[in-house]
Amino acid sequence: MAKENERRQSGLTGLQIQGYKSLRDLTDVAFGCLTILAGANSDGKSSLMQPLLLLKQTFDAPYDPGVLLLDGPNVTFSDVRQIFWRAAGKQRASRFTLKLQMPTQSGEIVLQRVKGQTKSKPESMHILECNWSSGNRVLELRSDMTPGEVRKAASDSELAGLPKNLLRDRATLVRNRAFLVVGLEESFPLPGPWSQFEQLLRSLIHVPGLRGNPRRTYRQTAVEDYFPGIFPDYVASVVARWQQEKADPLQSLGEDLRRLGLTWKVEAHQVSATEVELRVGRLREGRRGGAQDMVSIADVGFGVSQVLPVVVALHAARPGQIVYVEQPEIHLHPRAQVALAEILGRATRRGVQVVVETHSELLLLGVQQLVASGELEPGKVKLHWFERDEEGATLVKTAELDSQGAFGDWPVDFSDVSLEAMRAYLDTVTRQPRRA
Amino acid sequence: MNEQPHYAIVVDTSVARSASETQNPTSIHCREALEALDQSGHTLAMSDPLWEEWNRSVLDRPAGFWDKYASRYAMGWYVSMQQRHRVRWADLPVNNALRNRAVASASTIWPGSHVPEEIGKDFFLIETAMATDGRVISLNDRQRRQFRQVAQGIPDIGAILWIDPDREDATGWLHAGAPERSDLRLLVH
Repeated sequence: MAKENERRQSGLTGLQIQGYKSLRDLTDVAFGCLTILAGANSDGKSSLMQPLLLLKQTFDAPYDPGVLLLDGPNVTFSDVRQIFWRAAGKQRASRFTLKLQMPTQSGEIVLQRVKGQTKSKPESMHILECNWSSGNRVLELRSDMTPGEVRKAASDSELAGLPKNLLRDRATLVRNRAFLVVGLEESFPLPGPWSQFEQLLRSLIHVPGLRGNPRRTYRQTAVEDYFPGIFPDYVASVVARWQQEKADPLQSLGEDLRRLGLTWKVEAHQVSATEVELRVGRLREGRRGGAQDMVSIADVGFGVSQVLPVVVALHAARPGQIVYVEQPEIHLHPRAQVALAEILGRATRRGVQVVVETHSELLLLGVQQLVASGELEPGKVKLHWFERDEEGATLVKTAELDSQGAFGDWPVDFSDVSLEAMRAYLDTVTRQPRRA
Repeated sequence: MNEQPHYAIVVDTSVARSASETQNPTSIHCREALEALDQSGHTLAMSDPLWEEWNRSVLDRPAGFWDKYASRYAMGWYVSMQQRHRVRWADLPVNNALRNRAVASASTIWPGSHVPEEIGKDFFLIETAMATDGRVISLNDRQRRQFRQVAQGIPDIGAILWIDPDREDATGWLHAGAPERSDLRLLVH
């Protein structure tokens, strides 16, 4: 345990956003091994992660969709203007800035709206700046740089370990989807400082809040290190792969589902070259002859089909990989919500970076219990509470857990709401005349 | 949270238990007092024996749907306070000298009765208050009267402020910053 707890954080350590949807002001959010985003509905939790998803779907696309793929599997927009901050009756923001921080480097992109000239040419956006730094090394690129300025910036940054004179003579500005990078004579982008960010974003596993109805069969997919699009599409094929390889995660998956009180076993059946069926144990616990007592995932409660992508993603992710789960608690009984915290904690101890957006008081309490019992280091958990001001702009309040799992003045209102509801109920009953 | 002074206040199990019940209007007054304690920025004073008492009388209620449900209010309130660093644990004295004096004094006042034994058993309430900010919220008026009489001979405990949320305006007192008030002292001058 101690060794696992000592694992250093890799992946994303921080995110700064300004001008994106409800994030009017520069919003600086630290990421830990387990990052919890909480708050009321529509207060900006999803907006914080959407720029990462936009980048993911842009880099996942099999074609060059331009600066950002607006209408993709992870996030959907129909107009560039929808992604920029705007208050009622005020002018829309013209830029949005995104800064990503990794343990040894940071990268910032500034995107600017470009107004459409005619109705048939809608508004678009272009990359204004793309800045990267790591220690003393800096590469600052702007779309309006002259060829000479680009060559100087490239040679000063000792890019890709290439000879300075080569960069000085031939470096040029190239757009690699959402990033401005350096290429050689406009032909191809050099393997440069942004490659680790691209890798981080493409490897991000996204388990969205809407995970679809359980199906009789699922489409066969590849199972590699990257999962383009949303993860629920891959679950059946991942389980099938583990089954073929008799891999450890399959047994852990069964144990986790049993802990959640849902089922004791999941198995995949190859129905055809293109389809996989998911079957689950009908009972919560394995019994004699239970191996025959399996039913389609479409024939059991929603809880199984909704939590399965979460648990499979946590086992499928490699150390350093980000798993972003929206509402992991949906369709789960309160007891399962508490148990889910333990599963999240185990993934973080394995080095997976877990980001959770939640409304579950019980999940939060489960995490606090892990910290208080020493199973999760308090410093590895980051809590962010989202609120909105009168203008509708998101405000983020951050807290860290202490060794007892307490979060101090963090304005979380889950337990207040429970107490208010209990108090209202008890007060009502108290005032009623006693019935026989 | 207002700018009033904040104190660590002992909440007797009688209050916590009643807050989880439906006795009109006592239970409502107790819930109001707990809410006021939280909203006005005070902390809950807690000690090992008080926590045991809470567990026995409030949190670990007998089985049955109603009791199980009702005990959730006190538990929920406590968890909410704990999550926000609003519980101050007191180390109680290992030396029983003061307790022994109180029991001896009670034996003189109520010879041959159970009161001295009760005083000794419940003295942790006084000890918890003395180890924190000397403030108690309790529904137990009989106990308050007993401690008041004992305080005549032991002025050390006389400075403790004791308020009954069902008979006095505990909510207003808490919102006002739980100030020193001579009528609330165990030893009234």
